[in-house]
Amino acid sequence: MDDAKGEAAGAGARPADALIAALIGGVFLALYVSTLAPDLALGGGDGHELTVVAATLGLAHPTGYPLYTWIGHLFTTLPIGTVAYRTNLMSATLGAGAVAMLYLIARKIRLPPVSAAYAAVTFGISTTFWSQAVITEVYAPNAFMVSLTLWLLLRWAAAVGSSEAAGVADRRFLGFALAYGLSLGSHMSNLGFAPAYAMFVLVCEWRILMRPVVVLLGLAAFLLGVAQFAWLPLRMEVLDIFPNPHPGTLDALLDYTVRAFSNLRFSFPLAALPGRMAVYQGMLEDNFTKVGLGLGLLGMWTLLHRDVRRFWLLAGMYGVHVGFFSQLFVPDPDVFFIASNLVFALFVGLGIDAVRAATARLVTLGPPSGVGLARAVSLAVVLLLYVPLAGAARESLRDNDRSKDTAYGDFYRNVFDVLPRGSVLVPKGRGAFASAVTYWRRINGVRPDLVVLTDRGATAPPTAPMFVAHIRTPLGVHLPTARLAPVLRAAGADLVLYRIEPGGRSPEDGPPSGGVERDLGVATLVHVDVVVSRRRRPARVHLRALWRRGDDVPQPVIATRVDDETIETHVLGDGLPPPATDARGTPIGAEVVEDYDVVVPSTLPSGSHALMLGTVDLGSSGVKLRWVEVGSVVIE
Amino acid sequence: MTPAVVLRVLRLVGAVVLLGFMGLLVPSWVGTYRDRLEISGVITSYEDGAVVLSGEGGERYTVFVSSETIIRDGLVPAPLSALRPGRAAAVFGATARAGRTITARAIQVWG
Repeated sequence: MDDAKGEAAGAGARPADALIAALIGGVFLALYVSTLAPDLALGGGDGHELTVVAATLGLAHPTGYPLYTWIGHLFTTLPIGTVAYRTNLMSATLGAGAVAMLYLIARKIRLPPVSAAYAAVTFGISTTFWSQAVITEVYAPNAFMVSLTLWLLLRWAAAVGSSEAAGVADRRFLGFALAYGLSLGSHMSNLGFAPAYAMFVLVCEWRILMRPVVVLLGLAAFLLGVAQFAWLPLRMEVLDIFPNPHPGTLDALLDYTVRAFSNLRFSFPLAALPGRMAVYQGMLEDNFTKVGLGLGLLGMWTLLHRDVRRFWLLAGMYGVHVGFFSQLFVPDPDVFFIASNLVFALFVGLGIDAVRAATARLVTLGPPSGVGLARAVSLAVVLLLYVPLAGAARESLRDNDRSKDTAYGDFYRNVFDVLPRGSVLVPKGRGAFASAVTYWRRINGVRPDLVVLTDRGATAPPTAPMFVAHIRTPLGVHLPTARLAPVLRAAGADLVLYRIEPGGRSPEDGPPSGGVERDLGVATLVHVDVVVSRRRRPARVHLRALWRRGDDVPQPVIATRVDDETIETHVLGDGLPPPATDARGTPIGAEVVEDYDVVVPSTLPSGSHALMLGTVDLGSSGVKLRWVEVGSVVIE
Repeated sequence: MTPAVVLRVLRLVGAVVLLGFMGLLVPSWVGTYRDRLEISGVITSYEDGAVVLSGEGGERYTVFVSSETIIRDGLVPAPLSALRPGRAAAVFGATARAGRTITARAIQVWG
């Protein structure tokens, strides 16, 4: 067993490590940039807000994220792409930085380069982390801050156990404390690492308690980092887009930061623990595969055996994070485990190294063939274990390539194209989740004539036409005095522009004239008229279709396709008043006229493309899609 | 207590903690809880204490709602009436597989 405080001979950091780390970081930066979302990403509600906040140096949703805002602001000044692309680029850059730092951390826990690189690569290609490294979000930058903090702490420990001057260790300690305080500005959950950090400091150098000046200076450095949160009350009036009480008093500031989302914490009873762990295990397996999971568990035992101090540092960080977030009630739990995944990747690297060491020992048990053969065989085994990573990387690439994610840009360019002058626009939700509209108007300066109801002090003129952007009307829910008529649809069911029609009147125009009469299972397309209403990218097609519901299914779903790409789906009769739809959807046999524009993705190449309408049957025997070609779209 | 003893105790406690962690994790790893436990989709009906959910890929789930099921509308605790057709829902903490009846520990609805 090796419980040396400093780095053991033969496995410490070498100058070549910086080069290898830079190489790993460069490769992952290229990977993330090549799959980066070019604009506001689909489904990235918080990300849209964070882009606006970074660009305007405003106030982000709780817990405020001052450090994130400041670094994000620097990225928004880069002369490249859209503003949203620049904050996406921040995730890619700091995400790649986290992967490179992970290699250096692995070297600090005495892994040889081949195992340390394995830990870094397995984390870099893990699907949840990759998904966050290509959009604007806090998780990839936070992974960088967590890895930087951990690396600084391990550097301090290395200095404590070495012959370096005491001043070196003290300076490293202060650097660690400052970085830790700053890291709370990329995610407040890093506060949970405090017990593990404190324990590690004490088991490495308990005599630090005898040096109150160093302890007090360390505390001061930490508080200097925490002082960033003074930003929140200072900037709360600048651009507050989150509907929270302003953090203008100490109590409100605590509510905004350390007490934020307390209603979501520890939401599950103790009896649910096995189930919650099963949820966690599933996510772990998604990111590291079954083999990686096994290697990680082996790595935990390996570290406990090799270095109990570093075991408790990593296990403490890991345990607190997993324990806390597996009890958090959120619809997107996986991203919260990214910091613990980072630690788990180190355990995977340790597991790989245990396999390497065991192989080397087995070889030396045989004929006296020498150390060279043992090293060669064990290295070959580790390199063999790299092979499955290629498959995992391919899957992750397939799932996380956002380079063609133009849905938001395409949708809003068309929204601002079709809205009449002086219209009132109601964005989806409030605050952070309405930030796509805020982004287009405040950052890109589009359509200042519109009245956006989530703007502070905005009021709707009584006669102005009103629209609702980006919302799905619940089936069977009808406003008593108005209806939401779909005007524009794009990218799945979530990007829809509705016109609010007072009185709930039905369309006055007659049915479409283009005869089709094609039975598509759950519905029959009777007539359809198709007109290309915008030819330049992102193009738009006007559809006016008469459908007849044909089968006893809960909800016939209508879809639009261009060539092989499904560009929009919606429930038949969405937004139409009774009798076209009622609480159970469109009645069997009823005829429904749908009239709306559909946005064609700007990623389609120039030329002519087949436009198809179809149905999605969600029957018990599986999903059935049926299509009929209704025209063509020529993209300029 | 000498540093060596402290480290020995830490190693012993570490072994116990690791065994406990593996006791929680390994059963699901080898298959006891093999199914994915969190699903989401659109509510297509709610009758007799069961929600029928249509998943993103069109798969259908029947989710049993008991008196102990936590229901939230967005982030706010909500009554059973929040489980209306057409609303998006995420089901937490239940063994789930398409086509099977499952029990929900918690359901969050929105939209």
